[in-house]
Amino acid sequence: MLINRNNSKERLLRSLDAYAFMAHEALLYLDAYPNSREALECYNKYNKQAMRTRAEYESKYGPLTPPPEANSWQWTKGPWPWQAEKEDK
Amino acid sequence: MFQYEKRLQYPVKIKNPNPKYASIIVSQLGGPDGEIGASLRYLTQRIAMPYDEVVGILTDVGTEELGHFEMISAILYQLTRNLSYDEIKKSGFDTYFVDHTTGIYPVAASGYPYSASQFQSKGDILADLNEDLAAEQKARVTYDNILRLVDDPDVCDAIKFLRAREIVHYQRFADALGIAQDKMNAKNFYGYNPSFDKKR
Repeated sequence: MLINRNNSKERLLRSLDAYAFMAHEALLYLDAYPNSREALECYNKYNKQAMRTRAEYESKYGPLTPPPEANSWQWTKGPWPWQAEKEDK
Repeated sequence: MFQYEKRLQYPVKIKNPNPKYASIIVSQLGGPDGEIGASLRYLTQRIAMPYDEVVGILTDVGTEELGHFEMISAILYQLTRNLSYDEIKKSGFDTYFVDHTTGIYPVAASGYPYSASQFQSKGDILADLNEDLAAEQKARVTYDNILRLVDDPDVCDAIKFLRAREIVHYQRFADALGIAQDKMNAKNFYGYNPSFDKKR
């Protein structure tokens, strides 16, 4: 996957993708092996980083899930995830 | 319940539209081993599943498959941007275009619309988990075939990610089958589920 390094919004989102992916992979493993300390540590570590990165992204670029409260309604503002052409503009 | 997160599980950024590729890849949306069938299979099977760990695996894999449905939709959307009528006719995309324009609709590459007859929810632990193992391998083969037919790095990048997920899900369903067999009667070495045949 080519990442546009000059685009800090895209860079932050790709970090979130990576942390969330690691947490999800540990989640699936823990479903089958709930007693694995190693998987649990991996889950905690990457989920914490994903939550931190998600919060940073949302504070800078708008909500990724409908927000608990808002001063103005940003949720429907594009680009939506499949609209890569608008992301580049 | 489910909540939507406004990002793809893995990014899809395709520079060059290609309606021919779209008419092949659409099979992973609505084909026999496609992502919508995968998510419906696991999210229906989990309801009657008696073992908590297996319910967990079916829930979390089934939810991920919804994200894959979205990724395939993004690939199709980006492959069919700004097409000329000439490109649509020459590529063979015209048979899809006539019914759906460039809207995203779940059909197999053959044109057969998505059908729930392509999966099972049998209400039987072993029957369901063995179907799930086969389903992941069949989807993996479809992605292999797509990689044999498509030669655009932007498209292949996302397809390779999805292919790798089928392999991981296969591992987790193998774990689930092991868990289920351990929990079933240890004398049940024929590997069937006799719970419905017991006198109550």
